[in-house]
Amino acid sequence: MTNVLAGQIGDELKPFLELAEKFAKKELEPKALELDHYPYSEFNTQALKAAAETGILQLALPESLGGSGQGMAALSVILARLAETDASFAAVVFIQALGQAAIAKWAGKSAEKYLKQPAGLFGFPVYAPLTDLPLGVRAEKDSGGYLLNGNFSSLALAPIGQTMIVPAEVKGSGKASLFVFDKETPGLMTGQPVLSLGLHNCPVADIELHGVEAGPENLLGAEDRAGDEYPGLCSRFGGPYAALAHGVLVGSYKAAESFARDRYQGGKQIIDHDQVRVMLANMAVLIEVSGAAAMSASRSADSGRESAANFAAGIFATDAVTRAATDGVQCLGGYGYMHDYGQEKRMRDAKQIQAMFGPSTLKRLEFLDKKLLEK
Amino acid sequence: MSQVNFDNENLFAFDDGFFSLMYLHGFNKRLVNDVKKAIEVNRDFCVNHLQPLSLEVDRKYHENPNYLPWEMVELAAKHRRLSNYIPKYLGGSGEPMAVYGAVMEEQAATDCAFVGLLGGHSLGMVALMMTYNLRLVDKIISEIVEGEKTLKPVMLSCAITEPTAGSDVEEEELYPKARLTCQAKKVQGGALLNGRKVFISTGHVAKYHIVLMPFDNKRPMETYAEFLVPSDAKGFSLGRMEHKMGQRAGPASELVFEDCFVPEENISMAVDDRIGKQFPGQFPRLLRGVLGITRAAVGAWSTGTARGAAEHAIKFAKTHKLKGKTMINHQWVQAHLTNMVMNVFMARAIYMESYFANMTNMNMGFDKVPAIFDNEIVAALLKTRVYKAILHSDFVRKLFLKNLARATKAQDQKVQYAASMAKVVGSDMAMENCHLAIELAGEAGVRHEFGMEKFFRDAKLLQIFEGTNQLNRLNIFNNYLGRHIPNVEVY
Repeated sequence: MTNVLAGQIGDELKPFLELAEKFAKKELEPKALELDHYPYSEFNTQALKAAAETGILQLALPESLGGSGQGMAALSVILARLAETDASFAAVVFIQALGQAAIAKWAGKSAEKYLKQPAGLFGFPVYAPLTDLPLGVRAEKDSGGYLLNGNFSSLALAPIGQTMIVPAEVKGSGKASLFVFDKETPGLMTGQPVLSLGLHNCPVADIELHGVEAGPENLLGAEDRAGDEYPGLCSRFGGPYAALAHGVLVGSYKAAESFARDRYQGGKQIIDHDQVRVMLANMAVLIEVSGAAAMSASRSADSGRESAANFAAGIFATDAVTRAATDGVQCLGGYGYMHDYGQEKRMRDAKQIQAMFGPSTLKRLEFLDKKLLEK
Repeated sequence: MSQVNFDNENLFAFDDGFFSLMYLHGFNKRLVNDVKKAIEVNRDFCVNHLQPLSLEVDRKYHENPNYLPWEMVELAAKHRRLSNYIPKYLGGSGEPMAVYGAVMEEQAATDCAFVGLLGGHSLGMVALMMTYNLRLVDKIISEIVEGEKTLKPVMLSCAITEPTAGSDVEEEELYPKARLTCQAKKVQGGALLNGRKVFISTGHVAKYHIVLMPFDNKRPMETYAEFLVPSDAKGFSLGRMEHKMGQRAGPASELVFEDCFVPEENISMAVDDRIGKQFPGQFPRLLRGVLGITRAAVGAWSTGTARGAAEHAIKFAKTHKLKGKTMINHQWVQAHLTNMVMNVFMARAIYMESYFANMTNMNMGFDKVPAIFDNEIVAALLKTRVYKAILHSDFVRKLFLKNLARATKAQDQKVQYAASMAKVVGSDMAMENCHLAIELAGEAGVRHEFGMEKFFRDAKLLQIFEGTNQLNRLNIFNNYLGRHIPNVEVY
């Protein structure tokens, strides 16, 4: 039996795996396929509520801000197991953790205000390149505050979020700053949910800002500093990012293996055909490697090593898993292509996960830049 | 080689210098012009009629997975896309075999799924034509052509796959091991069909189903037969419509047969009937002929898909910036796009080779009619009673069957491995280019309105159907490498 993060979890992390296992079976498994039609189906509100109640949604948030104060390792264990069953909801937890981290790090005294609703989600620019945040929103300085106009495309969780974290350019600087707004802020408009390739139940929308007034308290971190600090914040989550992809792959492998045992072609189980075995073998190897990478990066971040290197795990795992999840469909033949078997969802979800943080080659180049700087 | 011209957005134009067309030059000069003309006509069709519908139909299916894309069917009929592979002398809009591939590539570059809708239909037509039961062929062609004129489209489906037999029914040597559940029974005046067929392309929009099943599923090769079943036949029903990841311009359907009666005249072929017994090996030849044609077609279709993904990525890179610089001016983007363009050329080269192998080795017969007779006048003549009687006679049918049987083993092997290579290389390149397109575009790549994610979903099926790429690799080994190695065991 292949488990998520097999061999990577010590006794201290077992309770998190058990929690995630129970949660995935109860809240995700029965509905994952049915709710995969969002925006033409509902958002999984019930799972969100349960995640807030069980603490899954506040896992990595400091205790002083109402969270469990766990690190990246615990988050990775949870994400991997949730993603095995439903990557959409795992992505919701992942993006929320990023949003919370940004608030905890930069919102100062206002942090509590944004974190007071346990199930209040953050719209977060997770699909934007780390070092090239789009500057479609312009902030003009205006009597001690700012006046914001423009638009930002694909803000994750925007359709269901309470609080929006939006990159903008303070006019003339050419550099990114991060702003935070309540979704009810006058002039802030959230568009229709975007129809995406995967992670359907992790909604995305474009937002428009028309004369949105902001005070200094709406600025997240220092003005013009997002370009320097935002990548660091996200890099810490390289392990959990890898865990997300790893979980999808475990799900894909299990479905492929079980089908390959039941299916007969050429007078034998297809698992006894070498070409199917090779695909399964590649997946099995990648499960071990991506799991190890996810946990190693997570532990490194937890031990205080704030390095771009932690993000490498995510780059590697998400790239490799997209190809492997494509083979996961191949193992099921025609059945893999049909929605009922869940395998095509995993292929789409893996690709959508890879699209986070920008084009994959760019991610590698950004990583190299950082590494060269660290020298 | 084609000149790359970024301004006319037609990076993949065929020109006289293109090596595959050079090949055709030596074969038949007229074909080069036919190919060029067909590409021109189809580009106009794609840009002005297909493109505007493509994403809309896909989105409707998102909204309602049971949506039947009749507008796509009507579009195909209106532009005579349902009879393009039927020769002019038989009443079709008549494009020679050399043209199909280029046309399919052109269409797939716009909408991979639309080609799937036509593909299910043409698979049915090819499977019927290769029985050389010209009475039935003639009847169905007349209806298809009439349907194009009256805009009441007549489409065919071809039912081969069964719930427990996919790859096994794609390969002659696997048939004895197949777990077949469908079976026909001889009765007074015809046959009764029983069983279920699954993943049948165009099923829910087809008027006729070309159904392959044996009279004895324990001895399929000795008892195989092909039946023409109209969708309103008693005992026939449409089961579930599959909810597919992509390829949503046409349905994939379950066909259910419960004592479905097929009259004698609608049995298009039976290997154990009077004519079947005179031509032993007719069914394997039909199977291999059909697969030779359809796998080459999947190669062309895949090339178009790889090309569509590349074209979208190129367009995106020309119009978007990264780090303050237009993407296409980044060296890594140039290399990334170049890889995609090379993938298209690789896929195109091998499907061209496969079409050429089919044209020169297959002896299908329909294309052997001299050009001078391939026109509407002959078609009208063949509608007269005397000529009809000749066309429908056993004598003519046997001529075709004899001609088909004349192909040597070496010729057949060439057809088989070339077609499988076109299919495997093409579909792998298609899938790879779709991965690459999204990897270049990131956020935009996974958004529906940019079109790249649709190519990604559509492309995956190309690696699966017409025999999985795994099965096709074995087929290539068997027909290319294995043939020279004594005692080698395949399958």
